[in-house]
Amino acid sequence: MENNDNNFDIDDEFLQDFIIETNEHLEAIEMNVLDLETEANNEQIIHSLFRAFHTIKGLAGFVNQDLIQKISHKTETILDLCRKDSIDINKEIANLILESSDFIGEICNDISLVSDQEFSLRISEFLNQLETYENNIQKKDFEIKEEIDDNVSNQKLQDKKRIGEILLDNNTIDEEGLEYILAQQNNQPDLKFGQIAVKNKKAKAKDIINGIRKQKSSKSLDTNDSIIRIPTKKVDNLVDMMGELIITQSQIEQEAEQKYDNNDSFFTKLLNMSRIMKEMQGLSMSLRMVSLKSTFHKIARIARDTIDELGKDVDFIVEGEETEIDRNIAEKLLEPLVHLVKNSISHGIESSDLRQERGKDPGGKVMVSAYSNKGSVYIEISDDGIGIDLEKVHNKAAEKGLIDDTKKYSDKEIQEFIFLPGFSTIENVNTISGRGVGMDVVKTKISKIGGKIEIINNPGEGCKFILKIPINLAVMNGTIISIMDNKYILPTLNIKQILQLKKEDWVEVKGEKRMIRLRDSVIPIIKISKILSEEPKNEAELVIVLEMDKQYKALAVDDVIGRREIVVKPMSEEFSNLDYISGASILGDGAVSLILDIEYLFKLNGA
Amino acid sequence: MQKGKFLTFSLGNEEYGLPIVKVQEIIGMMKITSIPRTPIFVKGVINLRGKIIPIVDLRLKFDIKEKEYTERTCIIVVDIKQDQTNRQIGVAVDAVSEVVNIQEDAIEPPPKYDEGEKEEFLTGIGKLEDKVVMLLNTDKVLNFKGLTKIDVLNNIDRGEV
Repeated sequence: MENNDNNFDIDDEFLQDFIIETNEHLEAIEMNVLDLETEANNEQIIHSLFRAFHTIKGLAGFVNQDLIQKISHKTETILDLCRKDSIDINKEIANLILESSDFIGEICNDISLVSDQEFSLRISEFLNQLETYENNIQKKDFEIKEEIDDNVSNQKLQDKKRIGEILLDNNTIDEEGLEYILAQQNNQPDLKFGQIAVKNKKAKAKDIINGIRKQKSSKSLDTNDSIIRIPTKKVDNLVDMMGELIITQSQIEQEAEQKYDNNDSFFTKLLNMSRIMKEMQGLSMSLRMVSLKSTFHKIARIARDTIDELGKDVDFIVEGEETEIDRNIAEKLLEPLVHLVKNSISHGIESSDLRQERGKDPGGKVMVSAYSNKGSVYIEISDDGIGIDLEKVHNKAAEKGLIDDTKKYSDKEIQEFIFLPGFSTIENVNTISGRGVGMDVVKTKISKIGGKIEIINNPGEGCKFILKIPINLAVMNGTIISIMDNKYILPTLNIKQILQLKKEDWVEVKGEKRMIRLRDSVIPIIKISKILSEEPKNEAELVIVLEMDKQYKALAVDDVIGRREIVVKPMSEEFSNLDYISGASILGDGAVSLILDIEYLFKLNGA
Repeated sequence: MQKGKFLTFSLGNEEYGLPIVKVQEIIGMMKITSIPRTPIFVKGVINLRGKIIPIVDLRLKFDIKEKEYTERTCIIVVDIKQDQTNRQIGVAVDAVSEVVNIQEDAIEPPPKYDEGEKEEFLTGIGKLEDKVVMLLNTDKVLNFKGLTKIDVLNNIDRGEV
């Protein structure tokens, strides 16, 4: 290992990137080879394989990984011959490809192998093998119609065994593995049984192939999706520009409204354009969407490591990994999620003994589940541990001088103390949840991506953190209002009604307007002066009825200016603590306008 | 105390300077959207070619009496580094003077104040032939991130009836 540290000092970061990328390619290679078993002459797959090795070769060159370069070069050459001469990938070639992939994988797992004598010997032998085979192909000295799969073109249904059974029979997988894979099939509908097995490390690709070869049935041909790899920067630029385009278009619409009659054909064309642009916007946004799969896989690994490290009996479950989210957000989610999960495992779940005393199962359960709803993605991290000890939290906060200890706080408020900067009930600083990395950092990171955290605490029974994150910092439909000559934006989604009120509709308490009457019910008013330090002029009769989660509140405004598609821009970090704004936007007149945060408005008490 | 080129500007009766390398651009005054519940010297935000950046009024930051913005008032857009990220903040100043080259030997260390804080705002005092320029430590002066946290406790107020 020592030698390598010296050699790879400079390239360390590059090397890490190389390893990550190469592993991705190796995974794809395995998947492709499995597909090839049933479509030996599928040109696209052969192309994919060629490209994969070709890429690995190139990348290896950058980080001076000679061995990997040699292996990929030889493999790529063989693949090249196959695709040029339209040669089917026979059994032997498939095996060689897998072996190449395995060798490269071995090096990636342990880079020191490149200086290991024995390993190098094995590689040399293998390279010779490849060379020999290459020559054979050149000389067309091989069996063309190798029997990969006797009945690959045989559409007749025969007495066939399912691949799962075959693998079970020859002990490639065990019962547990079989069930696991079957369960996974629901989550990964586009992967075949064998692929899922390999992906989840339940079986080696080689064994799957052998199993498939034993199988006497034909699988249906899957269509291969062609994929393009694009630098994310390009996509980001595209999305940003689309945003600017929409703003400009909005400005044009505004002017047009003033100059042209609604019926003018110009207007119709303008509306057509805006419809097309909205679609384009949606498409460009979708380019950036990724599923939470890889994020969840990483978390699962870390969770299992933590469980092992602590020697606890905890079951870690992940759900909803196919939920999609903007890739930038997915990247930023990882750290806070890891922290919350580690937290649950180490501090949430109590020891088996304690659990049994309480009548719980000895093993604890930590679950992360994701789902999307109405433009937001929800991620819940729940455990069935001891929950948050409110008394402990309150005392700690008081001890650290973070709160006013003469005041009486509600349970919900005490829960939120854990988010106060400087708070931590972890007596011994351990590496589990990180030094000084508290919940406050988690909250900040979540709000940076435009999200919120909610705590549902059940002392003694468990705790649940719900993260609500916008699917993308998108274009949304906003209603522009003005209060005291300042414009603000409200999400149109949350607007139930706009009312012009009369004096009788106001309900006053102690001389102050507190509520409004609406049909049979009474709706509380949002005291906006608590935030804006100003109120709409007293005569305000214009009221907007806002809705959130089936609750209603009213906001008095001076004017409602209009509805627009607006591009939501996040507020810069300095303002990340201002809960009452959920972002800003640039209006038609070029000025910045703040988007009021509906959740905050609803949390404000109308006093 | 880095020597080099500084952009000098006036605030009241004083001349200040910031390292030219940190200056992104200088723009004229434009509509500032104010943001409630921020420190008083944070005037608000502006739209700089599609990017929303905060504006700090140095007069208010240094407790000099606030002055109405005139046509001469400028916004200097400065690059600042905070928590390993680079950001831009606009600084509203009375008027921009000139770019001067200040040699190392013409820079004196900043004076010591009783309140440790003020001391950090300056990287030094530049002595030129005809004037004295106070050289600002932009990363420290323009950092107001910690200050909006005052509201964290206020948020708990919302539970109160």
